[in-house]
Amino acid sequence: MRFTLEITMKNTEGVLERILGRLRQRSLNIQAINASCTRDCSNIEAKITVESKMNAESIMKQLAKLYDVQRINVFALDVKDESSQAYGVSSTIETVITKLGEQNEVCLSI
Amino acid sequence: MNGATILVKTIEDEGVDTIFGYPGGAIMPVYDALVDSKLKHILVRHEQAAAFAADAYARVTGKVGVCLATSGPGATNLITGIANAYADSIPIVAITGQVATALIGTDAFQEVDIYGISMPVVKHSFLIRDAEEIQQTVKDAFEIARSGRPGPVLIDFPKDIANAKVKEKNLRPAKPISLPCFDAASIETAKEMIEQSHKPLIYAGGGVRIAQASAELQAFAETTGIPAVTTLQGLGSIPGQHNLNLGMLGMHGTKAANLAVQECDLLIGIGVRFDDRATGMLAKFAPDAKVIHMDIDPAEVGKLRAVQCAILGDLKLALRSLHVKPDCKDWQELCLARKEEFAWHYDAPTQGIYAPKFIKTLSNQAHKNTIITCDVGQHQMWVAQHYQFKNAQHHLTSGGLGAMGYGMPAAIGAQLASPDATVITISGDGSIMMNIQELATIKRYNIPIKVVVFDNQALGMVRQWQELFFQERYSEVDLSDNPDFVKVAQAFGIPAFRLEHDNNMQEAIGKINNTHGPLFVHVVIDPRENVWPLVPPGKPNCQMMEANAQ
Ligand SMILES: Cc1ncc(C[n+]2csc(CCOP(=O)(O)OP(=O)(O)O)c2C)c(N)n1
Ligand SMILES: [Mg+2]
Repeated sequence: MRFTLEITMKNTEGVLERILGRLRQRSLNIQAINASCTRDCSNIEAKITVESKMNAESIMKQLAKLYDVQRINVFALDVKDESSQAYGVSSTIETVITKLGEQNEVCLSI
Repeated sequence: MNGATILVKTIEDEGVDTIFGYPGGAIMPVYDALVDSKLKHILVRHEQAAAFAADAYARVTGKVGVCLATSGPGATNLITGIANAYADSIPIVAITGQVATALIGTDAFQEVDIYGISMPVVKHSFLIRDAEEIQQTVKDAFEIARSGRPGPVLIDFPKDIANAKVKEKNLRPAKPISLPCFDAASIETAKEMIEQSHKPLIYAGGGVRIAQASAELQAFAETTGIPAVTTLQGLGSIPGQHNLNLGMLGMHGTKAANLAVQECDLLIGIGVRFDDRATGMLAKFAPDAKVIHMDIDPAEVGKLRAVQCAILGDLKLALRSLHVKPDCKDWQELCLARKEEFAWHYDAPTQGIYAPKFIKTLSNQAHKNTIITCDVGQHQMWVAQHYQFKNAQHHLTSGGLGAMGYGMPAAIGAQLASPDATVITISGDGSIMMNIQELATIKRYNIPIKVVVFDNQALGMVRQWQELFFQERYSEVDLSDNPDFVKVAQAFGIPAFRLEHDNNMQEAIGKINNTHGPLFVHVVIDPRENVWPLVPPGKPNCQMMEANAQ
């Protein structure tokens, strides 16, 4: 399965390395990556396409454990079934996890 | 005040009384600050031992353990200990000196990128680049280490930051870390699943100890009447001698436990992570069971086994809300009958010392407040099988990482954390050599640890696998030229004796239980002895190899 991950993380020392390390260690192959810091440089927003045997929820939960990760959206690509094709999109929102700013609140909707 | 003093003060404020470490160039400002601090610093003789001791201190007290090392080799020597804490979810804060910020990235003397090296084995890490940040960083590090699923946090501390002038600040409290909290619906689902089951089984792990939920687990088992199996880290979370405890499951588990897992129709995983040493071949693990998984870490749920109900949050609270009565009388009787049928036998096969019998006797006669630490190998599994732990805090073993060398440093940490306890480390002739230098630490602080070394003149566990799975092609497992361990201990100034015959066993155990100071006991055992039963790696738990089948 391929997924696109949209990750917002605090712009701390080596934060991208943490994300990439976690992805590598869990055997996710990166196919595309695009990242930049927000206007005030406090956060980094990254969009990463990965190939994985893991399901979206597991990927998301592994990344959400990283302290600097604020928010993750996971989109499944390659969805073959008819219902999603009917909408003409190759991406279905599977999972969203958000850590809301300072309160770091986790809400999980699947 | 300089940065180092602020660092030390902030550690004191966290309620830590003892830290473990080893000095060197980059961490010297911190050692200077320690001169005026009320923190008790234990000088180990290898940084790995500092990390293991801090880990054990945390396991025993439930507080955060702290270890300290210099940059470069000091920091890299900590890594095995940090990885150990990561694998077993133990809260430690590791502080490493670092070269001055201006030198970072210049390949300076004793500069290593410990921040990068440690990344895969820490829960989080910090590199402090601004002295104004020291206090808040230390506070946050402690909070991260102990919150939720605990783990190690590394603070890399450059020398110029340690020397910088700073004022103490009024801190905002550590940033709160939100934790998952189960909802009423998942509790209701779980209750229904339990009520509808006929063959329910508790599968309890290290999370129970971490959540300090042993009393709740026991009450849950007793009110529901559900039998329990535990993992290596879960030993003692329900007392070893408890009627409903079927023992450890998995590779070296009891037959009663593994058969129960195989046949149950509902598996209630409590603070567990479905580790391969516990599950055997995953696809055949509890094949007929629905699963309820209770844990604090959402990432463990569904990671290896699909679950029908997840209860995420504090195990104490969750366990208290699940008191229902399933109809499982027949099942309970079957499990308990098997427990009796397959109970261990201790008729010593030799005139020499039979390790399982030694451990069983020690277990029967030990003082109530006895902590056992282990190394890794056959002796570790014999302890898990034959010592009946009344309390999960009394068993300290390197589970997830399986790190030889853990035992003696862990005993040091445990004894300092719990001065009134009798602390016994049970080691092997291979493992003891991994941190033998810590005998000097024991001597220096007169730490009254009892060191028991089972000497089978081999890397026994590896030898066992070569015997069983590599056609007896023995490769580099012979240790028949071991040093004279008694003389080694005596050279460090520690009283020692050798035990070789079964008829001296009782006297030796008496000495272990009643000697006030440190003691080293070299126990000679049969090199051919194996650990049984054994589920071969990758095989389902029902395929146990047993002693007489050999
Ligand atoms: C640091 C480390 N290196 C290697 C191993 C692999 N290993 C597991 S058990 C074992 C043998 C341990 O020998 P000993 O301490 O004498 O224990 P025994 O099995 O003989 O009781 C080895 C080498 C390990 N677990 N840890
Ligand atoms: Mg040995």
